Amino acid sequence: MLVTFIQQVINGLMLGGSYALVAIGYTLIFGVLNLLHLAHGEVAMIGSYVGLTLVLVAMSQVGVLPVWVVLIAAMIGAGIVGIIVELIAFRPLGRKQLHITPLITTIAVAFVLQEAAVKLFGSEQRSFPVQMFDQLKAYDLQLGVFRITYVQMFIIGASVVLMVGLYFFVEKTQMGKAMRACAENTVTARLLGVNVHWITVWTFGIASALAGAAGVLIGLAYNITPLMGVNLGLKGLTIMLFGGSGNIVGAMVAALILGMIETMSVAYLVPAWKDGFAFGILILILLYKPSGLFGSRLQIEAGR
Amino acid sequence: MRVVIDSLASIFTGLFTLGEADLITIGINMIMGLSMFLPMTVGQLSFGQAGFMSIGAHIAVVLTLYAGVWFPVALLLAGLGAGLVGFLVGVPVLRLRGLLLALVTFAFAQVVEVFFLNFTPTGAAEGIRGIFPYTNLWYVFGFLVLLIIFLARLRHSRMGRAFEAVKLDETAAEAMGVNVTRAKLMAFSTGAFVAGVGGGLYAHHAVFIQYDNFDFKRSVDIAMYMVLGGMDVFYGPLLGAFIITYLSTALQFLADWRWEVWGSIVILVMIFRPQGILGRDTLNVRRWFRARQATPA
Repeated sequence: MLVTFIQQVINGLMLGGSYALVAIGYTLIFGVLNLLHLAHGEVAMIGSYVGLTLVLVAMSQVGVLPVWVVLIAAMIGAGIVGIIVELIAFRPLGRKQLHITPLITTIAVAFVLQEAAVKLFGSEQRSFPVQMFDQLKAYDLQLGVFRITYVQMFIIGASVVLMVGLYFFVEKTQMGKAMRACAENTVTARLLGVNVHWITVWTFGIASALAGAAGVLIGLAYNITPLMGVNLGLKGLTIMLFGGSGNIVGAMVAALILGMIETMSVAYLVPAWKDGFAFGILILILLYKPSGLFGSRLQIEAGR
Repeated sequence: MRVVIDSLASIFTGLFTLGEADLITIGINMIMGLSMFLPMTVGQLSFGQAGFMSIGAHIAVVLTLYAGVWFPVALLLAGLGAGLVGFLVGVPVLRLRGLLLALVTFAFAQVVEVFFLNFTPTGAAEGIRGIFPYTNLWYVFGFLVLLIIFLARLRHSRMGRAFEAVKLDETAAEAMGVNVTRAKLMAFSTGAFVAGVGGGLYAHHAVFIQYDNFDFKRSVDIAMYMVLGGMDVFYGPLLGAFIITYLSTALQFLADWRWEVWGSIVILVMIFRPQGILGRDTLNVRRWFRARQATPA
């Protein structure tokens, strides 16, 4: 009983950590640009396929790759895809659009990415090859009755490292300061000499790289399908609103809470109503606390 | 080259060989586009019209299949049911604006989907089979004509002007004595009513409905009709629904590349005409020939 419970807690942490990476990307893009990027989950999906392809190719050529190499490659791949999305679906729209226009263009991008993934990688479920996990088994931790696998530790560890890194990047570096300035007020930031276009591109790149990492981590824990992005994107969105839009720390905490709730409700509640609960919570938050649990750093009542 | 010309020609000639089923689908989609346009007349972006459509479809089917109600009455009741839900949802929800409203309505549609997935009286995940195929061209286009007359008359009515005022500036409208909450609720629940009727028509055309006929993708489709066609005038969603529904069958020859082509069309339209293909003045022929002046944006 206790053993399964602790196992569930670990699962919750894994899921929460991966969700957090997606949600932080959402938060960055929404915070800096005040735009909802509805293809963000699909970018994560592309990231996991980049990782998978790399593993499969390397296995036929040189052998099993270390997991962190796969992670970094997927981040770079997803980052590039994210920047392309920005150049195609956001940049040409200009800044004076209705808020629905980028919503529609990113949905179009999401469908195109899904179709591209089906065409390139097939529509069936895939997962990382067993050989990769076999090699990592040696590092598993055995604590009495509990067994924590290396993959689980890696997922939790990698998401923590990335989150802490991002936090310091946004709070302490020059670029992070420029991003926060853009989030505060784009016009003023431009007047003060911030290159807003450049910041936009970087924001997309970083957010998408984090999404790509999340894609690989989810792929390690579960499996990879062309449609996984839909679920990931929705969860990321819920978490962003839950934690307070534009609030990075809020997103991290909210992701852990939601990951826990999800694993626990699958284990102990009615699984069929799982998504109903998630969206019910989302509605309640939007209605009664639109600034999220931990307060929004931005004015999010996006006008028109 | 030859192939390309042939297929482009087939897009054109296909217009004259549309079958009854195609026309019914186009009509229903036009109705759905208008159901999203109605909340837009007060500037509300409702992203969950599929939810209301689902409610209407299920009510209508239960009425005709299990209670033997006459089809037009069932449609009316379906619309009223969806409209009532729209009203009840609208009361708390319409305080929100812009993106937040879009999200909350979208989440509502998801909850409706999960509800019908688990609701055993309507077959839960199995859905309902063997629905009577009552829907025909008369019902669909009869309702559409009524709707168009309503919308055309609404534009110059007292209510329509109030809607317009709310859309442009809520505070100013309030100051002019418009009851903003009432205007928003009216527009939103009328939209839900229309979506409910559209759902009823859809169910009796498809003869089989399931919770996931009314999923996220359906909501997105409906939004596309309006956004692509134009969201300032009521004939915008009509054109959008026609183009999208027609092209999705006419582009069959692209087969594998349909979505890629489709996505690029959508993005291009959004870049060059963010307000949609048909704007307020697009069909004003006299304007085309007038000397170009500095027009207010």
